[in-house]
Amino acid sequence: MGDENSIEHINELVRGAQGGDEDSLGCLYELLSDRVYRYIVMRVSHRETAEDLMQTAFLEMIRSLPRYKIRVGAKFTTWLFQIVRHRLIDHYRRQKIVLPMDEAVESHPALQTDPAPPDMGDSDKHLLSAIAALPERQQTILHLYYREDMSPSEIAEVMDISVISVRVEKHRAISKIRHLFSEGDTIV
Amino acid sequence: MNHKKLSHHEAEELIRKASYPELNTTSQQRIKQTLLSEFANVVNARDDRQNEQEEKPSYHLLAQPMIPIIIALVMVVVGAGTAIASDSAKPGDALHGVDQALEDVRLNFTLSDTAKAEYMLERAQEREQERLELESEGKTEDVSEAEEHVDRILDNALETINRVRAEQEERGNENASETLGDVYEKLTELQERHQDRLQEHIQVEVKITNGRTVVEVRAPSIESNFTLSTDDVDQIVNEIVQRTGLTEEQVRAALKVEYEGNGANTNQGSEEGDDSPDAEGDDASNENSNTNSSNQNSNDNTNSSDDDNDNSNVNESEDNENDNSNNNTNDDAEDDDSNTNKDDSDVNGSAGIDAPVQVVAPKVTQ
Repeated sequence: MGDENSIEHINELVRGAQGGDEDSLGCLYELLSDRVYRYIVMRVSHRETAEDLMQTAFLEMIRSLPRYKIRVGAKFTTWLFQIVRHRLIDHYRRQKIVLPMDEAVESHPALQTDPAPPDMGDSDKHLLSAIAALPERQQTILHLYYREDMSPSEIAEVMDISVISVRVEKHRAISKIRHLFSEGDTIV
Repeated sequence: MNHKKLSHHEAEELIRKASYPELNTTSQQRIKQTLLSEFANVVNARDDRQNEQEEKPSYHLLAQPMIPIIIALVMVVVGAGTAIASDSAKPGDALHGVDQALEDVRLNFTLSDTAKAEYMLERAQEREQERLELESEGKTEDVSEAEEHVDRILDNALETINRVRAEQEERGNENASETLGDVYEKLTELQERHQDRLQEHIQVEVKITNGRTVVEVRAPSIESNFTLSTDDVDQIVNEIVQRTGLTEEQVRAALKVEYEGNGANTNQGSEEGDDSPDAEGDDASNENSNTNSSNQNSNDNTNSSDDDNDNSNVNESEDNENDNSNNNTNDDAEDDDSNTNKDDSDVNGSAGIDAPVQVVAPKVTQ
């Protein structure tokens, strides 16, 4: 990630937003909205729902911003993704989706599914199908690790699990991806 | 449509580079306007509160110490039903998330590290109780989650106490090491019970056959199967520690070693396919074999469930010696070997621990 996404730059925007600067908040949102959206849309597979959840998460971020403390070595995005994940879990509960964390989100009939974008390659579609077949916990870990470049300890903080669990589940997820990908199964 | 089996590295690269559905620009801007509007409300409300406080300084000063109490009372009044209902919520319950959030708020409002440590002890004791209840109800998944909670709270609480003691020591308090002694003692007892419970669930089975060793480890959140070339128990223990994150004491306490003959070895070899004795192959293909090739994946699904396929490199460091390696699986094997080799000196150095090794008759594994 470039300078825009550097910890220092984001912290600077956070400080500005905490001070009441609307432009800082706007920049923060534009910087992070795509990342948050990508994380959510793969969990709910429905664009409008993902947009609603993203808005809810950012609203909570705004209300909680005064309490957020910038600390050396800590990333604002870790805190933000905690909020996002909690909103997702609330969403599952509201939808009365009883989802033990081992259940694959995509397998539940109550969740609507958008077709993959037409310009998405076969390989990507197949991979995303394979990821969608994983349990929610593993999907989250893969996304945060490989797309958000979070360390296992940061992921552990977001998900409130131990670092060992993060490593274990990541390993399991990759194994499953390899297995699912090779079989050519299309899950969605 | 069949795809070739991916190597671990290939799977990682695919995940990193996969395209995702993009956020619609119109939606992005619409949401932005909503957020800015809310932001303005929040800022205005904050400014109003500040103005009110400035206008009534004496009242403000009197109220200052009361703020945490007032907020706690408001929380109780406004969220009474939810808070009360959630307070007994265990992992798996609908209100467990609320319970967690309230705990965090209460912790943040606790004014001193001393009070924090005492509060964390209370929470750890409650979590322990929750865990026991979940176990008696047979909710295995939630028990694991509860165990993790206990783990984290204990770590945080003990760290807090150590920090308080260190600060007191710096200030010249000669009795710093006794600060929060009661709390520390109770936390330590709790930790010992926690470790004992974990220990009950740890199984480490090692089968040694003519210099080839098959290891199976089962513990909460850990299942690992892999093969080594060494039959040195100390090296085996060290490898298990490296891969699983368990402590040496835990591994040795649970260790069971079987020595088998040649027949069993041949059968195992054929089941597992290619079995280069030293290499551990792909990070994900260490169920029962050491494979050098990235394509020895017939073994991945032959002998064990997906769970058994995993965790063989659970101890890869945060430096991602395997995760981000650009090497092929042969190199991963080399890495693993090098790790093992590096550990030799440590093993030799620390080989003084003589925990008894149980040797049992061959038994059917699950």
